[in-house]
Amino acid sequence: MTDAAAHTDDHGHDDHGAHEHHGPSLLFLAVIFVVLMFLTLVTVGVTVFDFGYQLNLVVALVIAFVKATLVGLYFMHLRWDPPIFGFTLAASLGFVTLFIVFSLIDTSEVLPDVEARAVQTASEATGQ
Amino acid sequence: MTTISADHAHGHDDDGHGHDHHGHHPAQAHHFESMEQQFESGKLGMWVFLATEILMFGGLFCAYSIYRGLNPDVFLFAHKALDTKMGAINTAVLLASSFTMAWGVLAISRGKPKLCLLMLVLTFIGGCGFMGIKTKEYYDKYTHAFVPGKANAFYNVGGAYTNPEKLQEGVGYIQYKQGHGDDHHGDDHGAHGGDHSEDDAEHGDAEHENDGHAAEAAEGGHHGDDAHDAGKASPAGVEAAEDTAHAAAVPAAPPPSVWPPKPVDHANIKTPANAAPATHPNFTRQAEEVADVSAVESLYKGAAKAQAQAGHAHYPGSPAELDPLSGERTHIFFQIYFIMTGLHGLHVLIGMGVLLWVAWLVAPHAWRMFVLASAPATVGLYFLIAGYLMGPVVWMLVFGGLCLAAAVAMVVMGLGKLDDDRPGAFSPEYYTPVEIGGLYWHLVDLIWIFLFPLLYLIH
Repeated sequence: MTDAAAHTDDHGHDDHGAHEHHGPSLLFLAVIFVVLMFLTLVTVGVTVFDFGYQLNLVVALVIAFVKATLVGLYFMHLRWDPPIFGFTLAASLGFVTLFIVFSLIDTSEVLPDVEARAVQTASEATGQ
Repeated sequence: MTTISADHAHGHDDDGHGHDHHGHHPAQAHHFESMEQQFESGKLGMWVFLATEILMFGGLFCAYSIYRGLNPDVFLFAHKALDTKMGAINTAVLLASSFTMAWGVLAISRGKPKLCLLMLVLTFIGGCGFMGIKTKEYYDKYTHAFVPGKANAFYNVGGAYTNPEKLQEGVGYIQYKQGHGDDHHGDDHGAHGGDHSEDDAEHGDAEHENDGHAAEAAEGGHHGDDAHDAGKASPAGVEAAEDTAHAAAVPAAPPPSVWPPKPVDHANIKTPANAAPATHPNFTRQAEEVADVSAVESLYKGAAKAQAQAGHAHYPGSPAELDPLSGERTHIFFQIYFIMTGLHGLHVLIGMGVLLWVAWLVAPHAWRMFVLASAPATVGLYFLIAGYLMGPVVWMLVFGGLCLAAAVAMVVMGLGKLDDDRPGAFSPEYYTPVEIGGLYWHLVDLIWIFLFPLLYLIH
């Protein structure tokens, strides 16, 4: 809390000066909350539309990332905090992404072989 | 910790303004340069812990990704067993509790401990609401045989479903929800619950006579007994393919009559009913990706998977439409669901514990026993309500009653301490536990933000 000093120096309860809290106002938090609720409605409502299997997934994930960013930046104060906190978060997310991407690359490389073998078995069985 | 807090509280007995600004704050540990450094070191430690939490959940998200990538048809089919409305309500409840948590942190940073306490209590109630709804959801999974292990409706050994009655229950529920739950999917499966009841015995037997049917299934181009599968015979299949070609946005509804599925013999896969729609020229012209799918391959993949890979969501109405291999993997969807939501639910419970602890510290000493009493009161109410809704009533009554009695005892003890005028532990100079407890709660919310669309909203 960078404002701890400011608080102890001038005793006022409402020192809304230059040294005011590095943080959101209540109104701002409420706006973020309303936006988050709206995005929740959107992500449920958007399933009515068929953008295709992959695109619907992308839309859902984009909305989730926007919501997560809002929560992280404003509810968790990353917007006002030293960058090292956000860096810690980003690093963990980065490693999770690496983990998932490399696992999926491996799976998608091997999958055709597995399917080909199954198809061969099936074709031998049906005589096609 | 408590001694530090107590000393600290002692230093701020009138209006929250410490009298010892120019010395060290009582809550400041000697190895920190300043309160600010201490606060941010504490927060950094919390963020490192949150990073490990994200890595832990990351493993589960990885399992989810691989499994969904391999079996898109299973996800389209099995996610229908989840209740989107309850999931959405829970998302809103958790977001609201995140908001009250952020409000609580704001309040204590402005020197308003009572407002902070109110917000912490509201946040705690939000956690109760989330876990209550989660309980109802888990109970629904339990009653419809979506539990992990061999009791799962889709438990499958070598292509054969081992629980015919439970399979009936589970698929009936999914088809009911497809037909009535969300009309926007355009599928109109008349088949649900009651429709199957007469056929149960018949099909239960048919499953075991599969060997006898194998030969005619190979000839007829569809498996299962003729009367029940009439709707899936080749002409209907072609029509379905044309529907698909003309209106990709609304895939042809698979007729309910494919139910129940027959066990699949992998060494000897017969032409399934869905081979016709997936390989019909109209369909393959529509979707280029499907065009290279040979007859045998689509036969292997199943119509639902072929369509999903071609970019169209098609809600399989029964396991019979799934890739034969996916049929063996359907029950794994529920394992993933239970592990991911279960671990998340455990985090909610831990977060509620943290909230209680923080609320106890925030509260003036005269109120602390009441804060503490809310723990057994919550557990007791939970058991009473759960016992009333789900049973076993007697045990739930006994246990819930004991918890409520403990809560009453704590309240009585608290009434004896009303004249304790010491204030709560936190002030604008020092409220680190509120802040990092809040960070934990927000992380729980953050994870649910991803879990909800990934598990409940698959299209």
